[in-house]
Amino acid sequence: MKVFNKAVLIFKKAVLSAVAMIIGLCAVACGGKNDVSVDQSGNVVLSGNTINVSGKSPVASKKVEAAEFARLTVRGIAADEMPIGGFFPPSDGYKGNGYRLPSLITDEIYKKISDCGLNYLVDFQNEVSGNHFEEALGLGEKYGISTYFSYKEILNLQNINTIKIASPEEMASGLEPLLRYEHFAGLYGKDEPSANYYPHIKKAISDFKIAKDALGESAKDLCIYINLFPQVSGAMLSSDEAHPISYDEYLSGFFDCDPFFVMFDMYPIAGLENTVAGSWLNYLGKMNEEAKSHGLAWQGFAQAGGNFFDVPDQHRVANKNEMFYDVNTMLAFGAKGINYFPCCFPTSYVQLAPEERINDNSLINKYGSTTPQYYYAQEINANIKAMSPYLMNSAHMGVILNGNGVCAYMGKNKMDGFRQLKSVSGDPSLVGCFDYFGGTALLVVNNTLDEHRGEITLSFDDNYEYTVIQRATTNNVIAETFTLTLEAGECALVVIK
Amino acid sequence: MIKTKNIFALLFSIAILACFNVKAFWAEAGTSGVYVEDGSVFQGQELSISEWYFDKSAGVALEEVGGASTVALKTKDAGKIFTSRTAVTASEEIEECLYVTIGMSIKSLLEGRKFGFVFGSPALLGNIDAAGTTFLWFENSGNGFNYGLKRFGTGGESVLVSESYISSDTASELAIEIAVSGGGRINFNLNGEPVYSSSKDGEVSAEGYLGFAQDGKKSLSSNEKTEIYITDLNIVNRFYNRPENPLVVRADFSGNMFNTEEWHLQSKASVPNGGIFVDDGALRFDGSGQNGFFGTNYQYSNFVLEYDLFDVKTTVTTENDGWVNGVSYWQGVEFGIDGDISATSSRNEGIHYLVYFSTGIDNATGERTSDDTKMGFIAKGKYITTSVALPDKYSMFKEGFEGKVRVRLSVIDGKMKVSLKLVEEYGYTDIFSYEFANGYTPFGYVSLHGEGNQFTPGRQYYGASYFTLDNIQIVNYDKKPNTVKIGFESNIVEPTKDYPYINTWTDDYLVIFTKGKGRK
Repeated sequence: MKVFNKAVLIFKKAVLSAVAMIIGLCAVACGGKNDVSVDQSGNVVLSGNTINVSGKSPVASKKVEAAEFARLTVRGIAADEMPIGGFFPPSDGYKGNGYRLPSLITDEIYKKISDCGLNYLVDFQNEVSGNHFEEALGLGEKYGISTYFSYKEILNLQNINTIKIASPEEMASGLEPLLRYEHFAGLYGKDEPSANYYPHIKKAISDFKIAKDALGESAKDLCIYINLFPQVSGAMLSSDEAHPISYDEYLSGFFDCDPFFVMFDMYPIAGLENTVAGSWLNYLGKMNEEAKSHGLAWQGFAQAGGNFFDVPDQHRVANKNEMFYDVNTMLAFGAKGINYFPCCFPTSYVQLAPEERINDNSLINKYGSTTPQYYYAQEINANIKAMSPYLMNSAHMGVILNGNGVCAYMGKNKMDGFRQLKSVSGDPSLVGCFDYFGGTALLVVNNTLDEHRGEITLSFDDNYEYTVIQRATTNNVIAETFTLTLEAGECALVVIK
Repeated sequence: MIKTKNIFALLFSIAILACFNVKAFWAEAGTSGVYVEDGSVFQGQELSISEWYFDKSAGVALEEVGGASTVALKTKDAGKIFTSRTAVTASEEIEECLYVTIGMSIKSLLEGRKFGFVFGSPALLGNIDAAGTTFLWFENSGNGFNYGLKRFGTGGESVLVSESYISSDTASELAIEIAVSGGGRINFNLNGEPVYSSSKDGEVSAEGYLGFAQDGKKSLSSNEKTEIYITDLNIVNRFYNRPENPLVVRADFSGNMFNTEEWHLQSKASVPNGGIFVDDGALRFDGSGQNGFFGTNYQYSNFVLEYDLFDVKTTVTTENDGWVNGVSYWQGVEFGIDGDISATSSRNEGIHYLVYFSTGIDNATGERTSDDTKMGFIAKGKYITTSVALPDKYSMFKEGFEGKVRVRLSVIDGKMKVSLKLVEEYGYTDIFSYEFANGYTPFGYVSLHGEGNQFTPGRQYYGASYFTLDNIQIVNYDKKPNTVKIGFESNIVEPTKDYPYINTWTDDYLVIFTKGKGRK
């Protein structure tokens, strides 16, 4: 009986294979019948989302030993989902000219933030002991938005003269009641600390880790949020005019604090139109290397606006192509998270910003309305979400630059090709090269800004099948060479099967 | 000759004076004014080129003579030699619009040339004989000097004082006194003796530039030059300022708004989320801090300001975050504010005027140190008073005070008065009066202030303003007020809606990309 059943099974498989082969042969030869169609360009569509450019069967790519990489973990966010955050939370306290504006800590605003694709917030405004903490915490919980909160009773690093770091026991005691909230991500530490804060940061992190251990499994993903200065003056980095330090010294001191991740705020959309800061890609390359060498993941701020009112005339108001460029180049250099600045309009800008510029900064303005940047971010984030399972499980191996793009790169791990990818041609591009479970993943970015819709051709050493993700949609492509069309700053992810 | 002339002039002046008010030489009510020169030109190492026009190479400099600083004019140049950059403004109502005293020592004058003092000149530079200019001139007479006074008009010149002689001794120590009315009459005294007094209006005009000048052409001689020393110089210009404003402006905050055409609000926080807000139909200073104010959009000279002041925080509280929030202890009115009020960043009683009400406070605890409320007045940095005690029933900063005080500040005809009443009382009680020197009236914006610490994150104690103002009214009391009609624009801005985004990126041009099944 067993033998008979096995024979039947083998026969069924054979029949199915034959049918598949016939269908395949028909697809190549026939077209336009049943589930086979040929589009206007002559591409044969085998099934719903596979395009066979070569017309040949794909070969499986060789896998190598998977490279190691550091993960970025945010409590409440799945491991495969990229953390996409917002700095400057909804708050109460906006003012008009002699009147108070409605609070933004509302269901409507949190839904907007969630609909934009953000899954975490850095909330230094709605202090744990304040009037709006429970509202903010509850709404974050409802919409799956993990939040770092300021909790000054156990950690206050805001002013060097009033530092407060509770003991591990006090920290554990303070944190414990919050653990029942799945999306309580941890504590807000410090924005742009100068190096004189490092001894305190080191102690805070050390005590916090002890507290976490004491609290057990539910606390394991808690962390303290800290983001660094970009490359500013040595005196600013040290907070001591008489003893400036180099950026390398600044970073070294930070790594010595045993932080949870690396994060910085450099905003590259500055200077003349259609240019970026000339050091942008070099800086990304450097920060990626620094993070890797210290076994940490890194994330960067995305510029959601410009000509910020507290530092006017330094950055342009980013348009759609520029916001895409900002985020996608960070991803191409291995960012494991993105944070939009500002998410909500900063309360401190209110008396600085004229009404006609109310949409220039932030994803959501002081009235709780969306801005153009909101929609750019929404599209960017939808694509990130589709790419996340790959990017969050990839190790960054290097970059390929083709052509004279808007920004050059002179740093490490610059390559001409990567594994199966022999060459890149066409319009200027930046290709982030990743190891994905021993396979190859490529994040292709149009390295231009002047609304230059680019065609970028990837040439491989064989006819592979690729998962291609662009504009949040996943398709499969079979080809030895194929061309992506990307708007300026746009990206697509190509994963070789 | 001069003595005879002086007697005659004196008699004539007395006759003229008899026809005028006793205070003929003092400013009429409601004036503003400016020192064109207050003698400070003699201080410092060098003459100020920002206040006076002159050419150093023309021989104009500060020089010490006999231990005293003088302005030395040793020049061969012609035209305006030393001219004030401040032009004089003439107001017809003002009896003494321009008052000039000059101490002068004439050492030598270029032959055939006239040197002297000009006023009413239409331009900073330009010809001495430009129409409207009056010229008090001096020239060589051989064994002394001659002087005269004339005015240039479009049809020629009119002689007010014909050529008169003074000796060299007299010329070496001259005291010149000139007073010009807004209507264009002049009184001219020389060394304390009246020389000329106008019998009718319009003989001269004070309006325009003034200074020292020399006629003719620049001398080519290397030896000869005019040599004159100005040993004293004082020039005051009084004029009637009529700032343009809406005659009556009132903010009662109905509809929880105010008219931004009439008022300018600058809100500053002393406590987190503090500021100045319109709430419940009134203006609430709610944890507001230093340099927050509610002020006029127009300037005022003579005015009466009234407002209700009530609901003062009179006890110390401790807030959620543990910081101490002190009692409210100060409220003030700043006036005579020059410049652009919308660009004003801070209160400045060092250059403006400030009436304020306050109580003593312990800066460490926020507790009051007194049950009194006192009124103070600071005039351009000078503390006129700090300790006018308010009657108990008006002591709005006293603990437990529940009344509503109406404050009245009037500044009219150079006189200031502060008066108070409870809103239910009929008449005001005068608290303080002050008379500005020379009938001067401040000119500028008017603003209502609170006081408090600057907001600093991490601060543990705040002393902020917590009180309510309502029914704020300011009335223009100028003679022949210069009024304008203005519209209404609410301080409340219509919120923006969600941005109407249109995605211009389409998919149809993408080569390797289909959305769903097949290519659309």
